[in-house]
Amino acid sequence: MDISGTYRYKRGLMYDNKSELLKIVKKYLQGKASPEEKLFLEAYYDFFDSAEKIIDQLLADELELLESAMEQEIFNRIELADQKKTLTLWPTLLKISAAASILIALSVGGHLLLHQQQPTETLVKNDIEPGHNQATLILANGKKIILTRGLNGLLARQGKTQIHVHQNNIIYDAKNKTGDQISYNTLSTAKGEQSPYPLILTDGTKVWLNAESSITFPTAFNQKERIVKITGEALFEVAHDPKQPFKVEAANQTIEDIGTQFDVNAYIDEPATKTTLIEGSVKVNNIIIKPGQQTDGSHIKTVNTEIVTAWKEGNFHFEGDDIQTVMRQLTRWYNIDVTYQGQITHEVFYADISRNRNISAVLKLLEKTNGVQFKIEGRRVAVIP
Amino acid sequence: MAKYSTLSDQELTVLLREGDRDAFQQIYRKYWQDLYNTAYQRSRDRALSQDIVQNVFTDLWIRKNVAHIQTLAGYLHQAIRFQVLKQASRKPLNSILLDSFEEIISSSIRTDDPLLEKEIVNIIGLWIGALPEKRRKIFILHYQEELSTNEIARRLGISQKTVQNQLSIISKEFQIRIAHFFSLSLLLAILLK
Repeated sequence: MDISGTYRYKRGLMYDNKSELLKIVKKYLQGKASPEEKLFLEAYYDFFDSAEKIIDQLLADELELLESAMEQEIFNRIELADQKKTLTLWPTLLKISAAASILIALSVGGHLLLHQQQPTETLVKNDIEPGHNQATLILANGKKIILTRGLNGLLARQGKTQIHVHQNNIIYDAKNKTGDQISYNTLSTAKGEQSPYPLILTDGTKVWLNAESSITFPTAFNQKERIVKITGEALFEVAHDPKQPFKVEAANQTIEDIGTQFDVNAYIDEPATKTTLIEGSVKVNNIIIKPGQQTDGSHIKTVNTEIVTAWKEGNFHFEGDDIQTVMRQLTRWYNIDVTYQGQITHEVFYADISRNRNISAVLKLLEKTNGVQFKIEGRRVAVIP
Repeated sequence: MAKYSTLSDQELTVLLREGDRDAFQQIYRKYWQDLYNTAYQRSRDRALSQDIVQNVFTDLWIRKNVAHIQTLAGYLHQAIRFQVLKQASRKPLNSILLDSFEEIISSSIRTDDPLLEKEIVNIIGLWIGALPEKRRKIFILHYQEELSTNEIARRLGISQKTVQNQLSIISKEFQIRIAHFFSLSLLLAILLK
């Protein structure tokens, strides 16, 4: 008798409780559940009433922000719904305008109209794979080392500093601080890449690098201040040392650590360089911000840091972002070019999805918000209203 | 807005039907936290909960003239429940609501928390009550009347293998739970049908 087979069989069925529950949920939604099933499902649903409440965990200004963000979105949606309704009151007018728009579309270029009906299967057919874990380390002498997952051991030496990969970190290990001339290394990622390992500088500071980003840093911190330069986006966990301040130089910002974890988003195609504080305290262009706050160097606002650092956890998290903000992030990770056809939508987008998914999964999710469609051609993605 | 916050739910509902946006806004501000909590407790996903709340209020506005609103709170909670279940059925793979089920029904018996224990027992009872008739009968005959699989097969006129399968497909922990349930003699009317 094949024991392993029996075991698999049993195990497979053991988890059937879940799929039977799902069956009941589906019947319930279709109004086809029996009275017993209804009774059960509603009691089961109510069971969660005792689970922890998210509202209790949110800060007062987070609550306020959420309340107004949702309110705005709801009012946008009802505005749209009311407009649609007004239109249906005028069927003749609608038909005329529809006919007119077909004529216009055909004369402007028939393809525009045809593509509006593009089924999502085409998105899948022309799918684009996600970026991958790779980065390039450039040593002081210009030598390049490609970093991928699965490396282990000594990578190189820079003066008295050894660089190794150990337990999923790139570690810069300086035996002592003095003696060495300053030399700089750069860790960089291209579009469609993210650093496979966090970088640990000689002072113990940890840095994660998002796509299309770089960090230039001394191979040993022998100066009064610890200064690194970044482009793109990086997340820092700084080993605090008041005697040797840590500074990040990014486009239009200098961030000085006062003990801390923070994210710097300095992509040049973003409207501004944004520093978000997760823990501790930082000074940005002489403005001190608190955890949960973000600054562009002149204004401070409260943000959900989970959204800001979603990339580090391998996710895209959009919350009320406009289409351009969304597409800029996709551009960097999927290494695509984005074009906009017709008028750019004013719709805002909400999505929380793994960066390991193909682009079609992300685009399909975005398409659920009415008012936008996508077309993939090679590495080009067209946004269609 | 000030005058709206003093209105009762009933008055707000009347104004809502008339298309009063301020009344709608007042309803939103009064209920969103409660509804957001409810969605979050069952999804542990903030973005999803936000989406669900937005859907519920958008629907409330669109359906304001046709919805049967007896009480606002009741109506909104029913709408949230529908949305939460819909989202769970759409994405069953990472649904907290669906995933917690096995855990709840197989949890060890909580004598230290009688209230929680009572709720779990209640759910197990209702779950058994909702099972297809044949499976429910097998459970009762096995756990309540302690019949052998052979005897159950004979009584129900099915194969012993079927009986064995039905009994063995649930985890050990859940079997303990079911035995416990029957030992409590909590024979709900449903089970005796």
